[in-house]
Amino acid sequence: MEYTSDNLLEVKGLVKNYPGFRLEMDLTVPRGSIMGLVGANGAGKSTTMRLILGLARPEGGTLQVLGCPDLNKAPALREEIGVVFDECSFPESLTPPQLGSVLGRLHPQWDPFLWKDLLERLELPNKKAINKFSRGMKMKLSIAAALSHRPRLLLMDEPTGGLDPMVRGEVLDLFQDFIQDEDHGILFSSHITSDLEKVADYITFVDKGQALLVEEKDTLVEVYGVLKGPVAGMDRVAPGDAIGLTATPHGFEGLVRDKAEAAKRYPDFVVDRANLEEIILFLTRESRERSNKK
Amino acid sequence: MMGLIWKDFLVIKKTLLYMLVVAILFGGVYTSMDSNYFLTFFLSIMTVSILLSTLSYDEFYHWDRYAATLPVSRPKLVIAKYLGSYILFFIGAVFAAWLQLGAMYFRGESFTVDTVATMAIAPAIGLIGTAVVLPCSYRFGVQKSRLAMLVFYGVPSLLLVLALRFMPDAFARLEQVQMMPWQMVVGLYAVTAVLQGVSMLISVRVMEGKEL
Repeated sequence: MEYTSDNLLEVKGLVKNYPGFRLEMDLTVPRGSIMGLVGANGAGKSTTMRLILGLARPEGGTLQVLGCPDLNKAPALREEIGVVFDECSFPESLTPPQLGSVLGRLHPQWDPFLWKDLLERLELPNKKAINKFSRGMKMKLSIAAALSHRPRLLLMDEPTGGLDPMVRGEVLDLFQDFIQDEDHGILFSSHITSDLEKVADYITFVDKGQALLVEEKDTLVEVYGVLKGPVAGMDRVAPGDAIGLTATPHGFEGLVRDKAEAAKRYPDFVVDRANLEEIILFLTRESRERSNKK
Repeated sequence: MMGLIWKDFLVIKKTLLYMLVVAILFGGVYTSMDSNYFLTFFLSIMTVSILLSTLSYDEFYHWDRYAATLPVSRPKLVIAKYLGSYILFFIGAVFAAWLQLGAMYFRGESFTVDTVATMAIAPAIGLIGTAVVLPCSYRFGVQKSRLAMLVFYGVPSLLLVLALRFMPDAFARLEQVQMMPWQMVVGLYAVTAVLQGVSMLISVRVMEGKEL
């Protein structure tokens, strides 16, 4: 049956408890978009991915992956989902053609021509065993494998972690090609904010298992700003007006949700444009301060 | 499911070749020994080790986690491993049979029902071993399942040695029990089939409940 919802993925109040850690997650991946899941190591990004993929059992909340609440009950639907983990999961004694011969037997929609094209495009050697590949090559291989069965939804956990800027650029280009089809979607976790800034349409910021911010990326970088001023003027900033307000050797700084509004309210201070990395940094600082107070 | 079995064979391709070379070398030595069917049992244990190697590779590369994201149900992931083990045992048994027959030919021994029966017993013992090892591996990991394999083969061997040493009379009485070799083989394979079925059910249950 054709799945017609506007969202390829919907996660509502998804709960998972581990000793000393509780995940409570809300997330959507609209059709034709890239959702970036950003947060520090241990924030809950990988746990979220595992729950979505049915690799771990949720303890509460609802989940709809291409309209299915539990992928373990509909394994055939996994054909529509391309998965990339933060490390290569393939037996490393295999060569790419051997890997293709394995995956081709496992994926009904496997396209051997696309696989070959992707290997060529990503300059992956055909005759070398995977254990001779660099980390970047292994990651490119994982992405090629995820794309070669023509999925609609790509779920990737830190696919660009540890890659050099050249390889990251190639990989991000692939994602942008994939999303040209309006029926496709990507959920892409990373702690490299510059990658998300380049390709993501939406950002979900996760810290300590909670989604603290879900916003369109363009809105974030256009509307949010960094309020700056001398330390002596810090007291004049009303509580709640700036997130993660802190004194630095050069003055104070804090994140504002509306830079135009902040410029009107505080004409004596400077309001700069905030990039995604700064936004995440301030949000993390605020979250940590709040949990320290508790 | 065929892809999973194919993957295991590609991964152990080199190991199989080494096994072939070792078995041929042993075959040469074995030809000069008295008939004790050592080679068939050796190959059976080697087959269990090779199966454990495939599980070890899976664990090392987190293949199980990846495989659980493929369009294959978890029970099929487990069943593929069992089917792969049957193919391995079949290859091992055929190979051992050829070596055994070759050795007997060179020694000028005649081929009897006992020969077939003894050759058939070795894979069954190996299959009983995997019935123990596979669920252990899915539940506790490969390292602990190696221990299970050691206990499975080591403890009975030790008990046998001790029994031979301290209760020789009991064995003398046992030899008087008349049983046709084929009856023993059929009985052993019936037990093996039941154990394999139970083992597969346990492994499927473990895999279905496992967080990866």
